[in-house]
Amino acid sequence: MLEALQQIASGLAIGSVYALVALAFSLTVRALSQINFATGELFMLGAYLGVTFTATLSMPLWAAVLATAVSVSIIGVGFEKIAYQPLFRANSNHPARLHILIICSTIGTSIFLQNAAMLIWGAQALPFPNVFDPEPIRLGSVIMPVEYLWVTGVAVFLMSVLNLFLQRTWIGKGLRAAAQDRETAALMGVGLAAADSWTFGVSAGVSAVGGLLIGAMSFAYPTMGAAFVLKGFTAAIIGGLGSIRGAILGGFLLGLAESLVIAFVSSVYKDVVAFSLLLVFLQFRPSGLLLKPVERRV
Amino acid sequence: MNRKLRTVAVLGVAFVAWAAAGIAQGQSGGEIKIGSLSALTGSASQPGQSQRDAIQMVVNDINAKGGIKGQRIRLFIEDDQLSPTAAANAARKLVFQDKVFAVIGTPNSPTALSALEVTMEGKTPQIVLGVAPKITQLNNPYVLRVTPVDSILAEILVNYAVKTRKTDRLAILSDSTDYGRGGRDAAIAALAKNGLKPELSESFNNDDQDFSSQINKIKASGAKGLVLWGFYVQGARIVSQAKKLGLQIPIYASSGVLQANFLELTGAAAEGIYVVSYFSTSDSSPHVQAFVKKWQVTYKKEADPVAGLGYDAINLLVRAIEKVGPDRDKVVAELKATKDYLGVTGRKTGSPNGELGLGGIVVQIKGGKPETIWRSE
Repeated sequence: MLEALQQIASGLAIGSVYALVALAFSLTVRALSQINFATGELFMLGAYLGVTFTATLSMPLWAAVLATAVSVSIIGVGFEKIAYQPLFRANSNHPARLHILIICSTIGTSIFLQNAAMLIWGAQALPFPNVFDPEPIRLGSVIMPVEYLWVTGVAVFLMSVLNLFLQRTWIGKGLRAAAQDRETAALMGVGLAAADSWTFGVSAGVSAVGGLLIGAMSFAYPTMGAAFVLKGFTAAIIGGLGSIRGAILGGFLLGLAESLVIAFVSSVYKDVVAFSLLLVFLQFRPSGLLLKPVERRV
Repeated sequence: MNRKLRTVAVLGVAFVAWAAAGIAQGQSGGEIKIGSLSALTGSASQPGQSQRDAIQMVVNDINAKGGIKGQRIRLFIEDDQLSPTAAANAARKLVFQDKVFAVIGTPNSPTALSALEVTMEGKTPQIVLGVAPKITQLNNPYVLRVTPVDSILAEILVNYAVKTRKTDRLAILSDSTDYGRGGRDAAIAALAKNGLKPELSESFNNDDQDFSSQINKIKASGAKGLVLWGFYVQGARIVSQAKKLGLQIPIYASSGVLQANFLELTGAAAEGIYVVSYFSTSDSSPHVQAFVKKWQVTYKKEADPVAGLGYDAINLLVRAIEKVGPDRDKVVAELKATKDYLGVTGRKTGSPNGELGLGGIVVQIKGGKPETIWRSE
């Protein structure tokens, strides 16, 4: 029974990071119906900045999380200004064309960021300093590294802050309004250009914190985003792409499912199960667990 | 200003003329083009860069001495980004566009397998560094391999654990690539030869970050030792996490684990683990030490196993060309007839299927450094 607890703790930790990546995806999808394919690289940037802040500038973990979230959010806003806004303005009357252009531009950005990271930090994996207590938690025969609790804790905290931001602040309300109905929101005085920048910025910051947490558990390396993009995207689909609560639910479910498959079946089937879930949801319930199936009116 | 410019121009022309003369002299009998294919970018680019640097070092030396019988070597360097598709494209460029005499690479098995389809089509010899068994089982007459294969290394490692360390209950943890699966199968086969079976065999993906589920299962299985077959980033993570989760049993790791900055990534957690290899800077043999020192002087860092393999590969190739001339079929035949060549990565003896690598060593991490504790004869 206690062993199962250990698996659940590890599943929750990884799941909470999947949830952050899924959130990053869902934020831009919800507001702009666009998928940001550079999400994985913003994730990776989070890990590298985390190393820089903790190792080079010897910040404590909480300060590094904050500094990373803010810096990558700013990078996300810059990214929106350079790689999204001009395309959006030039093609706002051609949604289909805009979609393709945004896919190209976000993939291009992801390649750029990956290579930039390699030039700045090198191709080798970079270790984090010991930001967590090296002494694990012992519950009888069960040994649990403290980082699981940290990772889950920081991720859940960030999700709550994000929720408060969206529900309680003026900016958050504006973002939600713009996501629901752009024209009406604009008529009510929401600055759409600013709202789009905020959306990209927040999405980038959330993804970056996920990267920092994973980096702190292991290492930072240039291609680390790829796997989490796939899993985060799967989590977003399971929960309902575009739904905030769905992203969180999907992330935790996927993380738990993976770690239970390893524990009770075999590690060989971990990805088989994860991606089978993706296929099943895409086929039978593309709106995910929490979104209502959308009827498109002509 | 004008005068300055003129001086520069005159000097420039003089330099170009001088350089051209130099090249023309070295080229008296043409040049021999050799390709180096490996990952120079991406998460596992360190070994690829070592291969390139080793070949470059030897080529520079040979060219400085006037080349191979007056023929200079021209090196073509390609990056496969650790992607089989990119490897095939790069091999295509080397074979059909640059028309190289032979290709050396890659240290990674999936990309090597992909490149081999192209070099075979172009009847170009390829000296592979990757260790998957499949590489020499494709009926490709032009494939050669300097690295001791998985089956040899896994057998050495399992025998070392079972016979020397008296550990009969072994668990296996391997990555899901060709490399990991090849190692796992060879380890199971080697255990079977000893009349044993693994307690447990688990796998992981190279994108995984958390290995605690696998480690906990191994802990619960009652295994007395762990055979770990994978690469350094995940290897470092697994070794660190095993320590943290209180997995006390000795770890017997594949050579892919002890690469790049593995020891920096793991720190104290790597203490005591055993790694099967064919190269270690701690090997006290004089020819190994000569190479290690030369590498240190040239690149200001420590040589790694892939550097040694690249060094042996280019040296064997040059030696064969020197002996039989730049004829692909003759060079391949000559390499396959190699007998007891003393490389820095162990003895090389050829075989009809292209395998050259035999023998290996076991190192143990002691005081943060690998120490050669066992050598196969």
